[in-house]
Amino acid sequence: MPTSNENEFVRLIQQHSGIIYKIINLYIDDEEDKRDLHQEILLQAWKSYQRFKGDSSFATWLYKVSLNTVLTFNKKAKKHSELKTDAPLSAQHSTDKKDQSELLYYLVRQLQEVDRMIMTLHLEGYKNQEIADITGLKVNHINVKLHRLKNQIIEQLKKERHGLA
Amino acid sequence: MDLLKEWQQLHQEKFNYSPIEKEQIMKAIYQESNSTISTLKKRLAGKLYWIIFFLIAGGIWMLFSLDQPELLMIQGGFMAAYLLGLIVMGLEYRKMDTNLDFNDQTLPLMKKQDQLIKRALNFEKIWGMVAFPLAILGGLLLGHVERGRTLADFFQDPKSLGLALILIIVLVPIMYFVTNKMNKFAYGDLVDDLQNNIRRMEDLA
Repeated sequence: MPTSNENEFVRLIQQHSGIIYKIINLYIDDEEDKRDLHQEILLQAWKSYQRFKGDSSFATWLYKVSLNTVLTFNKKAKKHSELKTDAPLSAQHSTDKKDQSELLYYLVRQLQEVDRMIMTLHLEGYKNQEIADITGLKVNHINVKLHRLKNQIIEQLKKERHGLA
Repeated sequence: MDLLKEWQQLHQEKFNYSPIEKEQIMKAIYQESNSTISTLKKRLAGKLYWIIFFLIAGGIWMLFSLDQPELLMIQGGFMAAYLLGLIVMGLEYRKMDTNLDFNDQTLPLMKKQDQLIKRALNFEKIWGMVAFPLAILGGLLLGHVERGRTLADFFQDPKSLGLALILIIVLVPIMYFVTNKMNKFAYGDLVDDLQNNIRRMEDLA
């Protein structure tokens, strides 16, 4: 019989399931690793939930736990099967808006793990101060990094789209 | 170009997942952890069980060797070494994952994880460097005494001492090399990724 604490945790996780799926898909390609990591994030979230004081929103906290778990996870699929980061063919040869936005997703996935974390949090609408609180980096360094990353991605998007036109 | 707007659009199309089933969450929170530190802790627990097994087996053997003082002396020496190993490893085992808190910020958490992994792997190496030569020497001594000879004979016989020395010189580096290779295979990529990510984050700061 689940306790009231467990019921509350389950309710919150169900409300924010998308965060877990999103982080896993942004970092992992291998299906077995995805399943293991999914379970591990739920377990670490449950263990950490006992110490969650509500200083931030549940969503922010879940992002932090999920990113911490994924960045310290020992993947079974090793480097020879790194993320498939090629831009999707459909996006390269399509002017469809849906396929075009896929390009952004693949460009974010191509970023190095730390850059991907900063960019994802930014795209999820977090303020630079919140990103600094999650990652442990200084806010002015996040500002500089994000400026560079955004320029890099916009340039790549322009290049891809210009090439298509 | 508004990246946030594009991401929002993508969010609706690509990340529109159905909620995780309650049963799946309940199952996950009561399972054993697959984390690296938990795996290393399980490996350490395996070694502890082996030490306990050897201590029990050695204790029983000692009971049957009470009339052989020399044999008893070797056994006693080994029992003391294994008991010391049990205490040191037991303390290490208790400390192992209490340091990791996933509520922490990412950079300090990665640093702690990196330190814990290195510490555990170094601990295994040191343990191997101590336990393996002792096991070789012990095996030779026991064989010697079992054949009805004395300990003094062994230490005065240049052939026996030479054999022990050669075995230790040849086998210990091989074992060290194999352990290193196995650990590199199991954790090398993770340690590389962790260090690379830590370096990148520190370079930003």
